[in-house]
Amino acid sequence: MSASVDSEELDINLTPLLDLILQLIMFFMITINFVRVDQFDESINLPLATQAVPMDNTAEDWIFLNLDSHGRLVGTLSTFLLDTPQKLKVHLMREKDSMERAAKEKGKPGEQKIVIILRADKQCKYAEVWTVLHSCQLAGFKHWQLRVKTLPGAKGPPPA
Amino acid sequence: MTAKHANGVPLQGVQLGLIITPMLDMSFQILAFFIMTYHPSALERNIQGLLAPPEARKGDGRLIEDDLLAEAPPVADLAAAVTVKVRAVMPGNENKTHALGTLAQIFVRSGLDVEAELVADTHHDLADALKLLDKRLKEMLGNASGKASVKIAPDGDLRQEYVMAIYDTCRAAGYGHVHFVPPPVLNTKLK
Repeated sequence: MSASVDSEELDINLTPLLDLILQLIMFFMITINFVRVDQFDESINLPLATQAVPMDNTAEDWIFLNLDSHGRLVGTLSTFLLDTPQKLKVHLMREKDSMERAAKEKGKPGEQKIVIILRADKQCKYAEVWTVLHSCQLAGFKHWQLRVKTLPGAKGPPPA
Repeated sequence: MTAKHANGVPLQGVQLGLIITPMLDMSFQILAFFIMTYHPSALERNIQGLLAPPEARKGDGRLIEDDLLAEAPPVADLAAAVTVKVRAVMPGNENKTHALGTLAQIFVRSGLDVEAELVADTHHDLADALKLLDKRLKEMLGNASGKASVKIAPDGDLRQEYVMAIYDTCRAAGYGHVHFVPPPVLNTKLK
């Protein structure tokens, strides 16, 4: 792609542009995280907490629950009629069973560490958050994580 | 790269070059896809906890002290742990400056037999109230280690952002284990 000396044509040098584009593509390919819509529901405005920790990667599986500002479960769970804690409990028990069955089929023996990740809107009431977590408790889940937002550059808590 | 004959005279005719237009088109499309699907997930973090198993409840189904949404397994001295009681602005008490579900009063109690002590109320703004709480919690912690427990007992109507602000203050004050107590009256249902 060099400009021919004996012609009057002017070529744009595309090499730096291509380099930059390929580098940007590489950056996005490395950082991309293909996730379900539940995991990053933009309609949920998370509360701010500087003392939170990064996600626990020791869990075998996760269940994401999104609670909107009115205390309603949104996202994929909104397609189910989970208007009472009892219905939510039954739904979660079924989810847990199917996850454990799938893990056994994959040859993973023993109890699975399934973590409930609750993305509760900052405007929802504490009682609503507690009701959902209590349903999880009754469904047999042992681990929960409350998703919050941190400020860029926040230090987080010291290691335990 | 101009093709030349052995004697150095340039060849006339078709010049074969790399056609990069389709590659550029595709690169731009891929770039646009990644930009649109990019989400800065690193800004989201977690507060981790354990759920006491349902068997820990009393026979009559009543909630017991261990039945907390705890960050760590209940410890022996949990009953004696510092409790931060947070009251919310209730229906009928709201006004222009204090909306429904915002912070109304903060109490602390150092043990079960001790009277709760008012730390802040609606006369303080949020930042001042949290500073006062931080100061009082640090005084109560004294020289205790970072493994000390604190229980947060918010009203059921308190907005989650205030619960998290209290949580942050407790952790920043040096309490290693934060436990969430069930709301006093569960009068709200999932809609």
